[in-house]
Amino acid sequence: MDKLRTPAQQRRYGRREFLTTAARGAIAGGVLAAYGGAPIAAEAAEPVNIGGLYPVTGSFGQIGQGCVNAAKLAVQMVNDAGGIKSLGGAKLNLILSDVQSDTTVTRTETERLITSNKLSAIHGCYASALTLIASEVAERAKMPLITGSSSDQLNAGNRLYTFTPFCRASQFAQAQLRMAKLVSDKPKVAVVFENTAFGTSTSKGLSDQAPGEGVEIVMFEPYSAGFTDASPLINKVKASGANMLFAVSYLTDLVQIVRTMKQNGVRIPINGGSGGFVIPDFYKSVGKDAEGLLGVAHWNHDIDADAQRVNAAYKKLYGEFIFEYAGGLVAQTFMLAAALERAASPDPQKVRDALAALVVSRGYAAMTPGGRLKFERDGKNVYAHPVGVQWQSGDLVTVFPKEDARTPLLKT
Amino acid sequence: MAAIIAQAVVNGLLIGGIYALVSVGVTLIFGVVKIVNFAQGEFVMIGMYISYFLATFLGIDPLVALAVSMPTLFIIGLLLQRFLIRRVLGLGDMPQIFLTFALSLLLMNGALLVFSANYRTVQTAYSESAVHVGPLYVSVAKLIAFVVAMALSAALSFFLRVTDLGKAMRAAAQNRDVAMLMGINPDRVFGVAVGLSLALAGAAGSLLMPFYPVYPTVGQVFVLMAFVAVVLGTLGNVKGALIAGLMMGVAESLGIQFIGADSGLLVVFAMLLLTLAVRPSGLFGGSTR
Amino acid sequence: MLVSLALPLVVTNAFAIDILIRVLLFAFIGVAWNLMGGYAKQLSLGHAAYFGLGAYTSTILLVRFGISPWVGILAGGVVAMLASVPIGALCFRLRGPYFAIATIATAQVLMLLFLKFRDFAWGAEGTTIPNLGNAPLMMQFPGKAGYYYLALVLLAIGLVITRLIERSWMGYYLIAVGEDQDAAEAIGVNVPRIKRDIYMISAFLTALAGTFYVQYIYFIDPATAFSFNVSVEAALVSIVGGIGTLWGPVLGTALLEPTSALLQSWLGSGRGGVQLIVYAAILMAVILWRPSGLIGLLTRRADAPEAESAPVNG
Repeated sequence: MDKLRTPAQQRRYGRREFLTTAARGAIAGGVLAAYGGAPIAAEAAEPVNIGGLYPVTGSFGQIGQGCVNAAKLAVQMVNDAGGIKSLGGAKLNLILSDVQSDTTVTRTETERLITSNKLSAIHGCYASALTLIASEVAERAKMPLITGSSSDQLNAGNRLYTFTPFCRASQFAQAQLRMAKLVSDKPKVAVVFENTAFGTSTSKGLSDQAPGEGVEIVMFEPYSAGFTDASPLINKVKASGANMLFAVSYLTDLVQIVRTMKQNGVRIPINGGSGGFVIPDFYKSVGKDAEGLLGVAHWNHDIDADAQRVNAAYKKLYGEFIFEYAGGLVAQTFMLAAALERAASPDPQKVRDALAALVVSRGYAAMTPGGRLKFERDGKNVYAHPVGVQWQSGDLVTVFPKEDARTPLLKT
Repeated sequence: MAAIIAQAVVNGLLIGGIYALVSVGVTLIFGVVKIVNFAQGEFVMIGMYISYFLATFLGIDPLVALAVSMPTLFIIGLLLQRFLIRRVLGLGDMPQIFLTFALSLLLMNGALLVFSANYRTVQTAYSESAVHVGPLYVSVAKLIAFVVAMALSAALSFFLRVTDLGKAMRAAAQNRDVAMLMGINPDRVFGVAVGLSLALAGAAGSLLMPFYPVYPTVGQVFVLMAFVAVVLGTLGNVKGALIAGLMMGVAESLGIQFIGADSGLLVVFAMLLLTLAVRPSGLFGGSTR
Repeated sequence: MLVSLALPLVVTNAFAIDILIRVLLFAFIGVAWNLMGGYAKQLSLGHAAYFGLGAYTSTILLVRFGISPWVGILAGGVVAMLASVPIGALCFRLRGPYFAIATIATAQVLMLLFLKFRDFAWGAEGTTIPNLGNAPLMMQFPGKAGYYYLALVLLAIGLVITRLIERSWMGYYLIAVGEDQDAAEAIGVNVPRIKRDIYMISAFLTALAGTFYVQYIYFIDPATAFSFNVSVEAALVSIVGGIGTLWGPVLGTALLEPTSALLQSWLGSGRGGVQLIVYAAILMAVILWRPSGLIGLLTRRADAPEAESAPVNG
């Protein structure tokens, strides 16, 4: 409470005192003390704290809530299986924070979470724009961060503490392009994308790789998320002569786009990318018009038996299938558990080193498309690749590439 | 090419109808009570939530819900004027601006707390259908919204010109003191003005629901457009706000079409700044007092 | 006063220091706003425009040209100052609430422009400040203390400038313009020039805060830099604390910032709207019952009435 009184006290000093103390301040200002977080006590017993930062409120609120649900489920699963055996069966303790879909809040909350708790690692934040900030803070605080966010920027700039076990935005782009060739021989694609980190990264991947994949991009339009009316955008798509639409969007915009296309009689195949496309709410909002629509994802609930088990558990609790990021989150939690096992210590530096050296090909920690995990120097997973997904009969199924497809692709 | 422009113009006009409706509400309050209602968008939001819940739990079509949202917001308007606005009249800019501004924050975040940030939509029979007029597609839901918005604006105009109460409002707008001398009760007149303005906002909300999602901050976009339209159309001028609202819808649509999908708002603001530079008192000349 | 200087040596909780830094920073932004909004009564709700310009100028200089933010911060101030001239020329054509709207529009326009400038200003993705570790010459400090003192210095500068203006001929003219623009003009005050000059000073200071902020949070993007919340907070702390007074913004920030930070951490995951509801409620209460700000409660002199004799026409 003293801290609250002091600035008020400042007010009462007069000008003269202010000026003389300012002079003293110039001298005192030479004294700088370094402050890091509180030193981590050597904890031989339980529990091990991991932090989770998700946008539970704000524009990503619905999805953030799903992520939190999955995070809790994952920790439950790890603990039920005996916790961290090399630490005497220590249980994982999840400490959550709401980043309110806001960059500034992410900045303060990440720091607060790290400095107010003895954490071993953190995970978050769903939206690439938010994760980038959390990563900045984590790097400076030397705290390992694991995330499913796809922006390629997360692997740039000599990061040592940021780990991205799933595919990158540029890989999404390549998958989308290849899927386009499955649907049409001469794809002429209109690309629309929301203009923050997620959309920009993916679309950049699209424009970079399209010529190499034999796909012609006839329209390339960033848009500001949350538009009042999708008609002008769809009008442009129509005018461009495209025979396919790639949309990189979060949920609401995607729903508007799909609906407006139907309204305006623009009947071309849509690849809804990832983001808003792969969550149950998309189907709920768009209904039958979602049938046959293609997308990409870094994880899906049918990629292997483990995923199906997780899906069943999640469905029992929450009544709908577990979506891409949430499922990936469960895998991430197990990856952290595996790293803790290996490190046999809750010290973040040791956990970080263990993650960097981790090689897994079985169990929930390898629950990724392709089923293998090994981190490169820049935090990428050597074996990560996206899967193509399609809405069929109200469910999102994996249809691409051949090795990962669980169901054949429906041509519409 | 002509078809593309025509479609863009049609799209713009349709959404412009909603912008116009909200703008008319703002300009009405300003013209009569001399207050800029920063919370106007939040009343649109309230209208939307009312329609949403009526549709979701009672199956009432949002257009029918107009009969509920409009009177409800009218009453809220009366209360607003009586308990809040009246207390800052004549106190100068700062209290007037920040009172409605605080109200806007309060309503937005109150809605956030109560309803959560989730986007909610209503599906009606006509939400997805469109009429074909030659090469043009006209969304049915938006067309209905446009027609009703224009009808309401026309009704308001008529009311102001023809009825006694309407004339009293215009009198109080022009010169409050003289109006009082003539026996007009300014409080009552102001109350009705605010009530009508909020009723229009509520109507806009109901009209939006068939084709637009509702979430706590949905009002912000519309209110920004409304403010620009009010300046463009000359402060206090109802017809001006209407025309300006439509113009802005079209400008936004053409901007998206020909400059870039992220340029709609930019075009709108460019219009505002251009107006300020060239004709600050708006399209319709000297401000009405 | 001495206490404020010794604080970082005593307070080890990083969260608490963060609150203090925010208090200092937003008090400074409030002080900058107050020069325009409090004394001259030009109620801008678009000061984020200058905050953002300052932030982007120093960041572009740093990331693209390797120039130290100590130079960048001044460059940002100059850019903002220059920008305020044409912006002011346009916006001052409107009065009262419509002036406020025009300023909101300007900040929005800048945000939209920067969203589009993907080549030299990173567009919507924004950019992070390269992690230079301990680099005071590049305005990066290893712990919080460095930022704390910098924020303290900025606030001190703002307060000193305000006091100097208050006591000068400019101060008298400002208040005259604030009371009644037309009357001031009638007695020969060069109203347009005064408005322009104070706007330039206010913009310059606000831009300094922008640079500080980027250096502190390591990140910039158009939404953060030109955030409407910054514009709102600038005005809010001054109004709540005491509009048109020297210490008003400081008091306002001291009340609002810690409250919001504490609310945020207590309610943590879930109650996103509460903090702003509290802000809004406080603002409304102040306006309805104490429009000249809470500082009146603390100083013994009688409240200067906020009421003006004639309602302002648009």
